[in-house]
Amino acid sequence: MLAAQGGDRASYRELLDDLVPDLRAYLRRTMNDAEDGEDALQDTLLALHRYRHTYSPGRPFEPWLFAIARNVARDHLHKRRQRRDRERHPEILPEQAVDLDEGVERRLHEGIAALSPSQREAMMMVKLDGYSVEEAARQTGTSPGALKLRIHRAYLALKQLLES
Amino acid sequence: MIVTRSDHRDTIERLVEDAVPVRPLAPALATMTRWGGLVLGLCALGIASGGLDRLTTSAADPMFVAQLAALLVAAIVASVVALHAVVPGEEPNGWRLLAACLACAPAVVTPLLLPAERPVDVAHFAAAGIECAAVTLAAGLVLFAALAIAVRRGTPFRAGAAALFAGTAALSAASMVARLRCPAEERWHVLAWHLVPVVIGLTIVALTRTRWWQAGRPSNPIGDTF
Repeated sequence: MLAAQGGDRASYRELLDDLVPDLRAYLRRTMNDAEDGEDALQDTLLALHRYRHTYSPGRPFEPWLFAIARNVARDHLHKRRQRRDRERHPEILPEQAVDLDEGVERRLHEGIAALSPSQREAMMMVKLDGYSVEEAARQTGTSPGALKLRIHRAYLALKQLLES
Repeated sequence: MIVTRSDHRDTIERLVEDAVPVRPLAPALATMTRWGGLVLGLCALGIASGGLDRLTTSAADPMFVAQLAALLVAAIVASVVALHAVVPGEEPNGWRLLAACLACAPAVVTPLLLPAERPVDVAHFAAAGIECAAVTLAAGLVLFAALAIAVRRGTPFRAGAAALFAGTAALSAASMVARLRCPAEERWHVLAWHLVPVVIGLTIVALTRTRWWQAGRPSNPIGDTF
């Protein structure tokens, strides 16, 4: 990144190419939707470029990068909520009843979608994507203790939803 | 909009093409040191114009010293928060913001503890105070402009919080300048002519916090999202 700040284009291209897979995985997970994740990735790359001067060489790179991605994702989630509130069509709701397993699965998806972005992010990174608590904490710019608490709260919220 | 992988390839190529050298954001400590120098300069001006004799007398009063200390703490804490709020990964969380607000609170509380004199002549009250309010607002404007230049170089993800804390820092420091110039120890004078201008200034910052951030900012050559 230091080389990129200095205008080294080859290093910058290499850096961006290296970052895309991690950012894509992170944003798809956070957005809970592949297409929205790709949109957010595009905007994250633009934001990273625009604010590349805010990276301080003495500081770790990952928290800086994922803080930008997290802010972009938050912005996208906010816009998506606004869009869905405006475009809610009752006629496209499913007409047929689903069996129990599908119902549980659907409720689980709904439950995950209803979690706060930080809880969903923490739960999916550690429980589904296999990140260690320390790795996930580093990427999300929080402490391992706080991340564990988020996962615990997410778990309680999902349990309550499935039991209700 | 559906973005494909080839779009990302194109985006990366455009970004690489646009990758001119950039000046890294100055560390918060360096910015604060420069800004602190400006505050000290204004304080020296305040002392010079108010008279050293009055200040020396007031400096013996613990309440006056407590007020200055509260304003200094508020200015330092608020400027640190403002400068960190615009650096990705360093944004203060809710608890830190709450702690910062609590650290700024004594600056508001200490004037309330001053002794109040019986109502005096309104004309005299206004004549003695209007200058203090003008000094507070003028110094606040200078200090806010200086801090805003540094803050606006960061990211706008927490623009509202950054603007409010930059305003708090500037106006607290400006209030300190005004108090050094006028060490009056009368509650209504301090509230009306030293604290109210701070509240007015903060209200203006709060109402215009996103506008001043965007004003005069170059548009993004790559996209229009940020």
